[in-house]
Amino acid sequence: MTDCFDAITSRDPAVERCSNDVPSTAVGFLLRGADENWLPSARRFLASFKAHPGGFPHVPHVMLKGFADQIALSEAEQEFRKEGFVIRHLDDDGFDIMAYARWAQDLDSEYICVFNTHSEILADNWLARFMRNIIQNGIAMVSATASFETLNHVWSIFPPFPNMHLRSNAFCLRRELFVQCVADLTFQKKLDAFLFESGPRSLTTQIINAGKRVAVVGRDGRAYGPRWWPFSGTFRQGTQSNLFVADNVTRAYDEAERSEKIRLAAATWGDYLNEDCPLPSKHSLAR
Amino acid sequence: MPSETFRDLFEAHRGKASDKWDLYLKVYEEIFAPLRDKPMTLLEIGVQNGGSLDILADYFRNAKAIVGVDINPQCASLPFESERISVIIGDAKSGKTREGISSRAALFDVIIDDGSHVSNDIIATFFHLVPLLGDNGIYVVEDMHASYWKEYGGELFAPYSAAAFFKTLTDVLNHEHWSLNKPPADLLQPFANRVQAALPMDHLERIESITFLNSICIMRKTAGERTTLGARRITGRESNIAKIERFEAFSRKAELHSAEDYFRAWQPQPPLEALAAKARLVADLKQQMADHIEQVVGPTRERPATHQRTREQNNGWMQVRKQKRSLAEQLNHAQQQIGEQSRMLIEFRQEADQLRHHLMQMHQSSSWRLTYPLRLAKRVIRFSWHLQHAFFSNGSFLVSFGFRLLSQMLTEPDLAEATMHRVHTDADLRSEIMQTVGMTPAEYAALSALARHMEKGYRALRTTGRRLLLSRLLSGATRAYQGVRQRGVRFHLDEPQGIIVPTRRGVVFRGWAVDTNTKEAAEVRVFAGGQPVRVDRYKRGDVTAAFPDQVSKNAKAAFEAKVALRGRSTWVRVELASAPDRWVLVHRALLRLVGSIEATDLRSKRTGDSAEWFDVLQNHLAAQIDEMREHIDTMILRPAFLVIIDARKSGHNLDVTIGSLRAQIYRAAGVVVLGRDRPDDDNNRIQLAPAVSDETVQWIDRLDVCAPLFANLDYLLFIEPGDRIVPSALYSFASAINRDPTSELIYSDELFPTSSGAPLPFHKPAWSPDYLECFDYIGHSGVFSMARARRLSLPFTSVYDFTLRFTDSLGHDLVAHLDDLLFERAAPFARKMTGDDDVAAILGRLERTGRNGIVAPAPSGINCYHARVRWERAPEISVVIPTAGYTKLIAGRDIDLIVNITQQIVERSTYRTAEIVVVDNGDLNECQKNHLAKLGCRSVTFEEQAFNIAKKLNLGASVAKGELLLLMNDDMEIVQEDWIERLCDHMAKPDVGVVGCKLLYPDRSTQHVGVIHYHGNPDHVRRGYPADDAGYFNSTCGVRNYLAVTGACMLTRRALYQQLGGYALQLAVSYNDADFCLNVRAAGYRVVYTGDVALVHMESLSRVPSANLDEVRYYHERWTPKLPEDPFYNERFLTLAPPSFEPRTNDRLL
Repeated sequence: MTDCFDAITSRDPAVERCSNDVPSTAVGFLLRGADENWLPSARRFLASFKAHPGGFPHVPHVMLKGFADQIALSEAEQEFRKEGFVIRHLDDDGFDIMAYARWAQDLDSEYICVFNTHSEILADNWLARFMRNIIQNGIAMVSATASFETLNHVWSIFPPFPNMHLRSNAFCLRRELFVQCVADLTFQKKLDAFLFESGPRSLTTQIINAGKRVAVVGRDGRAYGPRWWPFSGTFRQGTQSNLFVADNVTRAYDEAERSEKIRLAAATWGDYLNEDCPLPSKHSLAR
Repeated sequence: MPSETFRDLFEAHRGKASDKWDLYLKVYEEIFAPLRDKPMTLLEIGVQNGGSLDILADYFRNAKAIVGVDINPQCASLPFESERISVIIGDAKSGKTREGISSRAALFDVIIDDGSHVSNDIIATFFHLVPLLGDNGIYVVEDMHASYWKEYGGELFAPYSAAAFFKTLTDVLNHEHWSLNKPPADLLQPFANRVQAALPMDHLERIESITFLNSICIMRKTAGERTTLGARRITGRESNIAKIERFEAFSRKAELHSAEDYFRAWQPQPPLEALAAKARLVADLKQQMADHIEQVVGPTRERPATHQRTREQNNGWMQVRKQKRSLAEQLNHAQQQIGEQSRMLIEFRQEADQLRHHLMQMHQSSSWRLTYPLRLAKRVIRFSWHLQHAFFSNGSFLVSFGFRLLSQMLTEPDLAEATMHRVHTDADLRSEIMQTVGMTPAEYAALSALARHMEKGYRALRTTGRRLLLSRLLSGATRAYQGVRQRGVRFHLDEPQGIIVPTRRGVVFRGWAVDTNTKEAAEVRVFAGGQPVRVDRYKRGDVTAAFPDQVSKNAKAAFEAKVALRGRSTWVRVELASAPDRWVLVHRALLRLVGSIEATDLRSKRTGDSAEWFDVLQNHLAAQIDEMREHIDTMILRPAFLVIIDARKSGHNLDVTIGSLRAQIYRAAGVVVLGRDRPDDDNNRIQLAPAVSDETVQWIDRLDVCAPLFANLDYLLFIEPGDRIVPSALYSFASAINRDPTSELIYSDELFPTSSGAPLPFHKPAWSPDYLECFDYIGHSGVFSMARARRLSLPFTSVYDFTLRFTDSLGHDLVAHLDDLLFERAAPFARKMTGDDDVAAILGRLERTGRNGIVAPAPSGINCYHARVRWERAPEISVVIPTAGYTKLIAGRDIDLIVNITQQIVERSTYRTAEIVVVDNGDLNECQKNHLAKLGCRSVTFEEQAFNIAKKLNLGASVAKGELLLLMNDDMEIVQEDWIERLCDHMAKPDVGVVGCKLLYPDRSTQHVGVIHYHGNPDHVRRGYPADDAGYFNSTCGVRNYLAVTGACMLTRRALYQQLGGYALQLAVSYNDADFCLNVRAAGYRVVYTGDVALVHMESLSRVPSANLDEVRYYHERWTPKLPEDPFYNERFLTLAPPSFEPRTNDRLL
């Protein structure tokens, strides 16, 4: 089969790390030691990282924060150091998003790809899938999952359903853009983190309002615009067969009974799961 | 003295019939001989045919009177030669009859009771007639064996049987030895009470002997006043061994006359009344046990009444559980929200304190005062936005509050108990809640209305973003309805609620209306935009159950009206008939279009019409074309497709096909027309339109996948001239390859034209190798890996042959199915002119896979065949049949099920099974046992009391010896001799773990042709169709892979059964077969249904499957996370209730 991107999608890790012909990309994995399951989570991610080549040159980083003791921290460092990860220590405040922001601010790479503690890569060429859509198609931000769910029923400040937003478990964008979006924000409360993901000034909304495109990328490599998210086969849809990065939320969906799956799918996508219920015009932001 | 004995006379007797047991002839001779020549008198109770009186008259030649008594009036007309014989008609126990008897003779020397043989009659007759027995008279009771029979009022230990009476009489005979100060009458009085007769003690005490022989009892009456032992007489003088006290008084009475001894002597002997009471108690308990067993076992016999009751109870349970689960889900969710809110509240308060301090400082600054006008303007702009959100924020808090209240209710043990056991209807639930929490109806109504509106609003807010709270609050019945309701007409609208209903296409109005005065459904009419809308009526069990005496069970209480949206908004009126031709408005609603008109461009009515939906889906795909093109540009893998147009038989409309290939957004790397030289005649020569006949189309007359021409191609697709593929078809395949590059075969659904004009969609199952072996279900809708084809160097005779060869050893993980309609066929789904190619292809598969056999067409199938295997060594099969030993009334005949099925297996089957193992409950009757023994069946008994069919089957399987297990119900009938052979055909494939077959109802409609899952529950597909139904693309007549087949007849491997631990013991009644099949699949084996075998399952057609809720929960927890959807049945585009394979569009839920 023809691979038009052969030059930069070698499976050779050495090539992945040091090509100067392609934009520099940092891949960051956040590990929070305060999470009691941090070690299994770290090992799960590392195993999947090793099993599935990214298909695009990158430098892997691990963001360590919230470790209560030095022994655990050393163990975590050792786990990642032997796989060639750059270790970055961060304060455990400001929730995950603040850690991403601090990490991104200190980098000099052009693009960043972020995974949260619960992430697990499910397919090869995962970074290539992200980067091709960013570089070739000019999409500003891509993520492995997205949702229409809203917290409007809890906090009125959140937009009503359908509240389109890319989820922040695994996403990729230009570093500069990300830093710009988080510059004025403070993350002191959980609400701030929620707002940054799906609030009226979410990362997704900021990018859209700047006239840029956002998309969910499936295992097939396609970048789905918001209009087609409910048909992407990714987050909380069917058997999530088109998902290429799993997390604790997608796993919970996998393990749920059918009735619970239906409830979750309805909460996430509502009636937009049906082909005859497209998004209203004002939300049709795919193109 | 006459020489003939009684026996001689009896045997020489001719004329009127008489019957005596052989023993009686001997006994009578012994006891009657001394009286034979005397002028005696004889009374016989029970004349019957009169033969006995003739014989007795012959025997007692000098008898003065021989009197017969019988209750049958016909006996009066019996002629007797001897004038000494006379017959009295009447009941021997009655006073009138006794007078008649006394008129014949004052006393009798012999009385023979050969009457009814009922214990009570014998005892009463004895009491009545013993005074007529003369001195030294003999009283004979014949046929005493009847006193051991229940139907004659006796039993072995029955306290009031005739045998018990005469045994007691022996105690009376020995009264002087009782050593008790107790009159003999005390012992006999209970008998007299029972038969309501006076106790003739004077005469009873004169009975001097009672002789029991087999079935006959003989009493003799003394000539004196009473029988006594008499004085002790001693003779001889030497007593060296045992000393005899000559002057010792033989009396122990003084020693035992104390009260203590009295009780010791009497109390352990239960008084007869007490015994009788206990007997009654035992009888009652037996009856209760029988009733209980009937309740438990009854449903399995499918008695309609019991079944109906069980079904209703199950429905009630299901509703309650459903409500409980739904409430629990909402509760959990609400609790999470409350928790989050509480935490946030604390944080907010802390933050507020800090901010308040900063605010005060800021307000004091001059810059703040100068910028006030700007802030004011901003506030005004945002005013309305804040107002809305504030309102709905409070609404969600109230919802949370409502859920918390419900939580408290549900955690009340009393309420939980009530909900679980007593609640059947909404009304019951309301009543229970009110009672438990001490609410008045008014309070409850207010709270529930608030909660309902809030919950609906909350849901709408989450799923559609629409705020329906206001409309919910404004909904409800009109004042006019209140008046109608008071007159006994009840109405309820289930959905939609509220007066403003946002919708995109239309709304279904559902509810019920009943008139308790007429006990029938109340008329309902619906108007949309002033125009009447059709209202469908149907029965609803929960409604009729809620009004048990007020509404007929057959009333079609429920109604349903589908109202389409007309324009942007449509007013709907629902009216109820309060009297003939009098209507009251009970509900009004405004349907409003959601979204913009533009958004409805792709909208279609989800009516189930496949043609419309095909257009919807195509439009949906078309709208994505730009994004797909973008995807193509960034694809990691770009598979090169070779499309081969097989024009060997016809080249008609070839340009249509090539045109559709040109329209692909993902272009094929090569297009080849196979068969350019055929057909030969000019008229049929393949013609291409100039626009499509360019150099990109290659022409070949022979396909060789290894040819250099195809060297750089990755996937191969066959298509026929005239067929069209949708523009995104090749893109979809390419996309699927990018999703899973290991796929070597990917196939999609397709659409066939029909004569009616409406296209027939073929929604295919997931990879089904056994289906493929009977019917080319992949055909021209799949792409094949060229690498594999080259590796196998596949020759090509037909596409079917190619597909079979390609998949000979293809792992299931290398096959993918796209459930998109990517192909439009030019020709309808119809029988081929000749199926030789197909037969040859299947024969080739058999040969390649080491099976020797033949291929036979499926009788009603379309291009469908069955591969029938000839075994070199037929596998040994153990048939395991659990049974309860029932006899069932079917089609007017009583069928002993286990006898019937075992006999049929032996007599109607050509396959010699190794053994038949019958698992019974230990209650088979002798006849059944003898039958099974005669057939050589092995029997094992299930000893446990609790019904558990899974355990029974596991028990049977544990003793089975065959390498294959055929698990069967006992209510089956064999209608096909080679049924076992045909089941075994599939066991020749090593990956097949379970084989099931077609089961028919007694009326020969289909009962089982495979099991699918929908909504997580197993159900039979295509139930109730004709026996020769071909099914959906040969689903019934052919062979198909399913998740499960029914356990009513299931062939499996014994080793596999044991490996998996057999049936799950947790599933005692339901779902155990489906669970086993899913376990088989999880172990890597396939489950196969074959239409080549049909059996009759004598299950009631009207039976509604019911299930234990605990078992349902177990099953759901175990399997629905892994199987949210059935891979072998398209839940989106085929009918679900019932699952009949009829094309229909359903809402997508996942």
